[in-house]
Amino acid sequence: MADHQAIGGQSNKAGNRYEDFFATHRMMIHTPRFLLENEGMRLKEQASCPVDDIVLDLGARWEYYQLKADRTITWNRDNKRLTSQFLDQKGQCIEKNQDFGLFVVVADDDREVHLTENLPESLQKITTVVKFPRLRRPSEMARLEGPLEIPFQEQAAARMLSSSDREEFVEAFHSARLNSAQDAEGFIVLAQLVDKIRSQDWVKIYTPWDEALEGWSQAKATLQEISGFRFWVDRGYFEWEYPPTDRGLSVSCCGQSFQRFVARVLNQGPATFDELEELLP
Amino acid sequence: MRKYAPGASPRGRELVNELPREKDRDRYRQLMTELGGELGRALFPQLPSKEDLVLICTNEDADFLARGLLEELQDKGCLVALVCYWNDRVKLGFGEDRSPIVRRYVEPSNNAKAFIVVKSIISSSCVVRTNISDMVYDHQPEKVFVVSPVLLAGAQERLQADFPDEIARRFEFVWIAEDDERKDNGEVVPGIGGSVYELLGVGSSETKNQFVPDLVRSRRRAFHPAS
Repeated sequence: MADHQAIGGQSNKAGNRYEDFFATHRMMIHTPRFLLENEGMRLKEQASCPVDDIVLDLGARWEYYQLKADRTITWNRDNKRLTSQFLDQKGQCIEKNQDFGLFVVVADDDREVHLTENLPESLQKITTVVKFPRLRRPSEMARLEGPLEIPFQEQAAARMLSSSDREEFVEAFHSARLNSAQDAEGFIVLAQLVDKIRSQDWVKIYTPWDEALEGWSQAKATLQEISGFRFWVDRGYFEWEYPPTDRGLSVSCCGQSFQRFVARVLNQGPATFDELEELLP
Repeated sequence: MRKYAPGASPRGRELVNELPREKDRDRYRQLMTELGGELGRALFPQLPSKEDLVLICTNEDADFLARGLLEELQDKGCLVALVCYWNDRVKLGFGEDRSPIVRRYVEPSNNAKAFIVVKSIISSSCVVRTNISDMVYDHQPEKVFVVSPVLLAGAQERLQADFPDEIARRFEFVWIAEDDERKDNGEVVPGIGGSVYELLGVGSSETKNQFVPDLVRSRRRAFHPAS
């Protein structure tokens, strides 16, 4: 378990623990592979195995994470407890013939360096030290950079994402994960989490659309004729811009609002943005 | 119980007290516009510059409260870029309200020295938080003025707590009245008298995003001379 005393702010509030942020982050990192390649993922917390803070089932591979946010953790502290946990996990994975990886997650640069440089030889090649910062609120995940940067562009319906758009995204995922039902083995299933977000319309997730809607091809031709106006539907939502000032992302292309918009465009035949503006969904 | 900002003008107090009692749409709009002017007068001496100012508002406030404030600042020689947002309303899993932006009108601006975020009432701070977040990390203004006729008690602290300290310390609040009572449905009492969308006549909470402010239409022409 992570050392909660080391985490400031509202660390004891449900959902704001170090583990909670990291679990949500892992799911968001994996979401593009689910959306674009249909690669499933399940996540379990406190899985009752030697390295058990977070366990990921990636189908063909398993990943085991131990979260250590305290500033004094070493491989040898407490009678080599961390080393023993990782060796035990390694043994269990080999026994089950799993393709697996082990991860120790720390919050400080010096712990990342120390644990990497002192990684026991018997754990090398299968163990990675990962740095994940302490956060005070879910929205801070939207501004993580480098290897921790969440690939928003590959999971959002919007091409153009602002800071607040990214914050809405992580907050929706975080809330959905904390509210998710578990499967029979106690895992949160990414596919179900994405379904929940979509069905509640908490945030606009990339959703392929085949443009099969009656009248759409004529409406599309009309929209393409409007000077200065650009639009996209390939991520499942109607996204548009009228640069340099205006842009929007509103309704799902599979919903009735979009059907009504298409009908309005066909009826009115807008020729300018001023005429179109009245009709936008 | 209502309390007033230190230094709130007598006219500002009159307006903010008349507002919750007013049911006539045109008069309500006029009061909001006048309040914008009053807030503009209170804000002006605090501005770090007359240039590089960005006024941020919602579509429902643009033609009234924001217009009053904008005209007051322009009368004093300020150069102000306008940003207008259309916010949706979403309730997440634990009932947390979020206000994603579904549409935006953003006038180009570089080197913003100050954001002026105006809203008819600030209670949950949800909309204001979203609209500040949208550009504050990219523009890094020296000051973020949060301007409203009425605040719910505690709203300032709640809003600041939603931002990293380095951003939150740039906030300055300009307001006239603070109320501490809220009904079960979230309406602040006396507040601004109810749902601002319906009182201003821009639709309901479900339909208000169809409303395009005249302020946006007229200012947009400067950026699209051919249309």
